[in-house]
Amino acid sequence: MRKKVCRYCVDREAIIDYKNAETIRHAVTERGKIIPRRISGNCAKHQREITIAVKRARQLALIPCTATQLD
Amino acid sequence: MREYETIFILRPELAGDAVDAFNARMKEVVTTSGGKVIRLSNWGKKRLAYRLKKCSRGTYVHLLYLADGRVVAELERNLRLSDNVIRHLSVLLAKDVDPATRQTEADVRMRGDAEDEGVSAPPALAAQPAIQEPAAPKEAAAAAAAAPAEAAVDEPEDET
Ligand SMILES: [Zn+2]
Repeated sequence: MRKKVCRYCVDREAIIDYKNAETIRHAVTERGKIIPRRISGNCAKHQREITIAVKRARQLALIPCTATQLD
Repeated sequence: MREYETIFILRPELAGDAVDAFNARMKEVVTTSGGKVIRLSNWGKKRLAYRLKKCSRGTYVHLLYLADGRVVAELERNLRLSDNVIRHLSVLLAKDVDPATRQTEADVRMRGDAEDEGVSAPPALAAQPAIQEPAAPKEAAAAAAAAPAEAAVDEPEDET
């Protein structure tokens, strides 16, 4: 298995902004769950930023909290 | 002073002028309690990812300002008391900001992804072919990228 590297450490252009749903969409699964570090390979620092951003975006209803949340 | 941003979501029923009036009032709350407003951005009416207080859309307003914690508390108190606000969130962006280094900017107005459907839409003309559009678009993902990129600030922290 290849070694995973943190894409936010590699790509300086990759930003994490809770106000911009596009920047965090790929950090969650189709069901809206945060992708764990062991899968994504992100470093601790960036995973922490992602977690905070995802939770803020959920608060603001910019991204769903669960898979089938129609109301 | 500290730099904060507060985002609040207004009921979709609130019309243009009422939104502006409410936003002006919130800016006033910040100013009169000792804060300095940097910029107010109206993101327009956006589709919510899930319902909030029975609303499926809402007008997003982003307020960037310099203040101390008491000002944030006062602003949040006002937001909580208002029936217009269905959700709000304040975030600390930076500490020890010199207000002299930050200029007040003009208000920003953006188009949301769910602007008054049906209200501003032109009335159907008899001459038009009777092609029925399949309801409202399910995914308005394209416009979701409308949120502004803030100036990079290290390690933002939650307030409240
Ligand atoms: Zn990293």
